[in-house]
Amino acid sequence: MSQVVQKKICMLGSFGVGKTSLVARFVQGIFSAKYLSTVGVKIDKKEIKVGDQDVLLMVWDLAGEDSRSQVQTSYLRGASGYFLICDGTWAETLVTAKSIHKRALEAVGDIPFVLVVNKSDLWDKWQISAPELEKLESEGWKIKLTSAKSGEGVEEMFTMLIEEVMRQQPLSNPAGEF
Amino acid sequence: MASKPADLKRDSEFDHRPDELAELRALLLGQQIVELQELHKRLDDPNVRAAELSQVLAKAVALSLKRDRELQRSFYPIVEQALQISVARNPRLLATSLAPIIGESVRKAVANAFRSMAENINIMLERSLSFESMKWRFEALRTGKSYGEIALLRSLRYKVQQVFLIHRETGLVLQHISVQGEGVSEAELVSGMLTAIQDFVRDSFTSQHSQDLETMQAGEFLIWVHHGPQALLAGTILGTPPPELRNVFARENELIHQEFAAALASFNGDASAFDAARPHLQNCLLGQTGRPKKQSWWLVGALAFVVLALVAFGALLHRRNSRWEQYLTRLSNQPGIVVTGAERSWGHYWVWGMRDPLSPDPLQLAAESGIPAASLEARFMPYQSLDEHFQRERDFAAEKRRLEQQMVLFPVNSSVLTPDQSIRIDNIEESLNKMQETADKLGHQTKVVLSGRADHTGAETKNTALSEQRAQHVYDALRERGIPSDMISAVGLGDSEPIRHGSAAYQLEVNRSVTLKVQSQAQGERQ
Repeated sequence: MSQVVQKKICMLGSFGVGKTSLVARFVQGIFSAKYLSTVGVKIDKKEIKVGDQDVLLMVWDLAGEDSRSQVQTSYLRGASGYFLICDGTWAETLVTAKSIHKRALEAVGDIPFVLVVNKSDLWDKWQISAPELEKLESEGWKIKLTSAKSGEGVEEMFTMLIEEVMRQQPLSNPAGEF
Repeated sequence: MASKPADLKRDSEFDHRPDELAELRALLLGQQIVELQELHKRLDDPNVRAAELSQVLAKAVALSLKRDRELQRSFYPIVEQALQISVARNPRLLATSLAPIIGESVRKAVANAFRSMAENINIMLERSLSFESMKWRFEALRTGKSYGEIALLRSLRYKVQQVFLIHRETGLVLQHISVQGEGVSEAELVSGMLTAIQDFVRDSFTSQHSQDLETMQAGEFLIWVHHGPQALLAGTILGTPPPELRNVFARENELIHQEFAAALASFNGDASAFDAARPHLQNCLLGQTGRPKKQSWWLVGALAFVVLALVAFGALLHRRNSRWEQYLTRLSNQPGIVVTGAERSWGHYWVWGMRDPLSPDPLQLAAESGIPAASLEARFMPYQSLDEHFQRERDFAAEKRRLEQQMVLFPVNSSVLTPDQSIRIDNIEESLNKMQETADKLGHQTKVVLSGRADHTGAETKNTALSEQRAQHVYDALRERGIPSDMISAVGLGDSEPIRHGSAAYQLEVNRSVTLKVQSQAQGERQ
């Protein structure tokens, strides 16, 4: 199958967990980071291969959530999946990720998502306990530990999400012409 | 210390105790007392306090700003009043500070307003007056399309550079085309951002979520978006597009919605289903060049015929017109004719004025100018022109009349001029000379025939000879007086043409005579 399939995915999380720097090295973009602070979203793209299917991911990096502003869920419309990103060294960001997940569920329903726990290189300052993550995993959450600094787990997190997306939303003609 | 007597007494009662207390205090606290006194002094002295506060004020303000906005709220009225006072005292200060900013923005705004006004006027003028617009109108008539459509197709003032078909829900690009060499490679990103901006504007600035962002402008670059229920059709345009272009976008987007309804509803990221929508996008890529002209020959022929017919009709009108003008000019230049008015309507002509009876007949002149006499009505009041020519004509006519009333009488059976008749010869000679003088000026050639007569008594043959002799004698007498021979001629009429019929003496007397008949011809006329 030669036709590229496009998918929209979103990156959600607290302000300052490193969403933008997490993907910066792995995506292709033409817009500057100031779009995030002005429009509240920056779009990049990433080509990825799932099986023999080329997928073009349109990565919507939404402005981080903090005490004053919430993620604009209208940007989630039409997304095939999303990343919930939190900071392993900052327990509060997992709480925020959970509340964002709740709002995303209301806005776009049950679509694939991956919880990304960033800053895996900073083990000594780790605040999120393993049992907590295990509990989420047992509830069906997909979890990936990453490091924006080393690049560890970043490619995998995209593959993880997109495989889930393709499983849930197969192409209408999976057999194709071949 | 205190000076009141009562206090003095109390002090004396306890005056050993303060001393001890002070001593104890000094022993116990010593240095602290000194420090406390210094502290008191610092707190009491406003100058010292101010100096100290000034060192920490900036830091304190910064800290407060970090904490909350309370300080701004407290300062706000002060700043406002301070500004008021400053402006009231020295308005120039603020004006000078703001001038660079305001000047720049005012200049920009005015320049923009003028530019767009000029553009609008240009477009209006060009559209309403130009040959091109007439061509477009004609083409619209011919093809049955609206003028707007034709203007849109032919207009060159704008150029649609790219067209995006964007899935409304996901913001993913379904199809993208661009003018060759002017596209962007990142159509997917642009599509996404375009959708994001739509969402952003809708969420941020409009109260109703149904309101859509339809136009974005950056300099001379324009983005127009048509919103369909499932997909957006967006075009990036350079220049000033006509409003009709929106209809094109709307129409193509509606067609796409009709043809690809199922594909749009079930879109899951595979845009290949929309390859077939490219022609619709292509239809929106307008303004780059005019389409090749398709003109049929019969049309050219018909047009040529119409033009020729118009030209012929115009020429006819012009000829008629110029004939009439020529006629009126000729008439007005005619001595003895005064034209006071003329009218013309649908092939009929009216002219009126005053005319000396000696002047040429206007109807005759009309025929000569190619205007049919039947279609001309000429009303002229008679008058006597003081024109020299007419005066001479009148003199000539008077002299002629006088000559023709002259009569030289002879006794019975005699052709001899009696002395009293010689005086008449003198008068005749004088009149002849006068008449000849006027005739020369008028260019007339004149000839005077002297007709001799005899009464009917006596033999006819004798009478004929007698009449000839009588005429000859007058002829000779005039020749003697210098009248040239080519001017006069003599004939004898006998008794065949009496002046008066009858046999009474007075009737017979006038028949024994010579009379004159003036023949005149205008020079140039055939003899």
